[in-house]
Amino acid sequence: MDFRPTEDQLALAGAVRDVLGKHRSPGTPGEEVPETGAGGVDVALWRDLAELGVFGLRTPEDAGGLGLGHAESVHVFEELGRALATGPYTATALAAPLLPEYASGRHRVGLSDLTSGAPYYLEHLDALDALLVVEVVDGETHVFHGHSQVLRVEPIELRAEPVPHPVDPCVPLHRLCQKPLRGEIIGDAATADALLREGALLTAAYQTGIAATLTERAVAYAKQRTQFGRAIGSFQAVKHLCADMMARAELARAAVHSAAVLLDDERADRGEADLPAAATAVSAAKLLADDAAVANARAAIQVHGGMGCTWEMGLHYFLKRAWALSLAYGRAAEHADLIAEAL
Amino acid sequence: MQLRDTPAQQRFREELRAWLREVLPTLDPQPSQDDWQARRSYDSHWQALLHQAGYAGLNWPAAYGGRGATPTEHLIFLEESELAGAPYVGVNFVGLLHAGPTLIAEASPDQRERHIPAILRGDEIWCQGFSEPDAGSDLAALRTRAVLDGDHYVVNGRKIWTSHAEVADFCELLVRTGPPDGPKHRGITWLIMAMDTPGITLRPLMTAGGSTEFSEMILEDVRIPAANRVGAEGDGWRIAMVTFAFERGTGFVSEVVWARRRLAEIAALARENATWEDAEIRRRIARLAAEFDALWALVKRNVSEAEHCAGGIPGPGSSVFKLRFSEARQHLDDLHAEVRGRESLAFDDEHHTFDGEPGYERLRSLAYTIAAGTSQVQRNIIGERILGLPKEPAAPTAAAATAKGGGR
Repeated sequence: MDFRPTEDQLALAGAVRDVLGKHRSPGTPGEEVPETGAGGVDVALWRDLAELGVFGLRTPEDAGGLGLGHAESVHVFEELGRALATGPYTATALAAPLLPEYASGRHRVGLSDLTSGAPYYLEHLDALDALLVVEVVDGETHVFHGHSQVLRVEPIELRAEPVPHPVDPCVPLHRLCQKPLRGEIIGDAATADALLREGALLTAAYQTGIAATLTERAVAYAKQRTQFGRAIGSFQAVKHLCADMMARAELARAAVHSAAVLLDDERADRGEADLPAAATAVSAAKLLADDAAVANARAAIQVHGGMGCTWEMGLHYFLKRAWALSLAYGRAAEHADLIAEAL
Repeated sequence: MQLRDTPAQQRFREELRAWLREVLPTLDPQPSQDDWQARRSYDSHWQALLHQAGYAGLNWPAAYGGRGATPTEHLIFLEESELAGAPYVGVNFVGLLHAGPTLIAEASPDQRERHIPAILRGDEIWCQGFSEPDAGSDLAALRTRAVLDGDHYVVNGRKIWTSHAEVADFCELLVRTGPPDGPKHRGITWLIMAMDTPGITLRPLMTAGGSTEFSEMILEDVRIPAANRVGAEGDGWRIAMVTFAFERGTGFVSEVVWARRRLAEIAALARENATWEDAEIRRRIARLAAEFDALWALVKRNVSEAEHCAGGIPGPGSSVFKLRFSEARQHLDDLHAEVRGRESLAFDDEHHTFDGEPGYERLRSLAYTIAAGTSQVQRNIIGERILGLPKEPAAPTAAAATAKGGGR
């Protein structure tokens, strides 16, 4: 056992961080939302990350990818979360091991999980080249596990209306106005489960990045802001908010890393079919990381005081994204039920 | 990032499992928490068995009779022992987890030779004389005086929360040798006190759970040989801090394993008595399972770091673990009570102060967020030592306040 990130994993995270540092990030204080093309994607950032190979990370080497595992993916996605990178990163990274033509990042792939109930929102629709849809085969009952399948749909053929006022201003939403969908079936229920499970893991990693970067932001502000003649971070009332933020981020990261390693290990041992330990670990990671991101966003705003509630500090972007991601790839109650089932 | 055992770790685990399978059925039933003599014999017998099998002082250097095991092997030992239902370290806690490691790090060769082998064999029981009625979280404010008289220190004062004092042979004692109004972190000295020295009076404190595991210890003109001083006079604070790092790092590891097993039992009970149908209870059980899984992962992260960093002394990351574990542990016992419903209003008729008795555990868990550094102190440690936030300014000392007043 050596649960520390390897040198290579840290180097990968560092490389992703360097690329992200060269582009504007929506959460930076005093900066406007970066100008993006249609669909809310910063195309230059997307291209630079694609060049680094982040989409083909888990695609086998003989199919043009890097042939790495989830243990590496979660390092990349924590960095994306820290920078609040905006676009269909998770869905494209999920699609690439399935369909190697997406490993290069030349195409943007979205994912919509229609098994999670209405309303059916599609993110970044105008920027997509393909859309994967997880849907229930018969009827419309809400199931997280079971008779689902994965379709590939041409975005241009979809009937969808733009949502005029999405809460997260960086992620354009469309409301799907068409069911059933026509498309090519590319996966069965097992594929659908795997996609949703891996999506939950990457989302948890992204949320951990939000929780971690906000801890740093709050701490830096608490050191610099003075009231009553001293830095507010010297007051235990504020210091303890920061300590709890750190504890939430660290625990979420441990859970995410553990789930990633278990997923890699169990797949190596048992194949794709049945991953009991890893499935529970992913749900645990998603629960903790969602909590950490949302609670840390609130705490960061609290530490920043009145200005924390404004657009000027940029903290609201993190909170809005954390809320949205808490509802993606399984919400808290669903993951809690999955864990309970396994107990 | 690797969670699997190496071949050597796998071998260590399998040998340990085989030994536990063989030896555990030979043990007598666990005695009550209040039968001190019985507890001492029970725990000492277990320690002697560990010693014969080569598992005593697992993480201690081989030069001092330990096994020189890696932090990961130590973790495997704690995990497997707990899974097999092996006894806890019990009355040997202070000797093995505090006093022993401190003596190895700081004591003279004579002192080590005198105590280390006896602690390892389970022949010598230690207790801790650190806290005082007026020096709890602010331990450095301790006032128990030690005055040198020839080749002895004469000690007067009060100590509190002294676990296992009734059966202990020795006490790791912190005393003030410097001036009472001097800098409080300096002027503290670490002494070995034999518990049969005249002048020691014990007053048991009954906990909310009904156990007498803690005592108040009153010291009146207790004469301790100066040769029993560990380290230099006035260096006791630094020496004590070495001990605390050990306590926070490894003190709760078996407890996570216990908590995960307990949660599975609570889930089984909830299914049996239909509280499982209550989605709120079911999901609270699930959330706690997630929390304990994450804490277990965090232990592995901390152990991996200790294994590859200086001295194997746990780093400040153990504060995060201690903070979250102690709170989760209280939620666990509360949830258990909720699933048991009105059953939780009565202790077990015969086993009311036994490990695992749910009402007893629930009340015992009150101390988890207090002992070994309160949750508030842990948050200060995280805030100041890890995140680098400024300290809260100290209250002015009486001397400084007078000087300021006089200058006006």
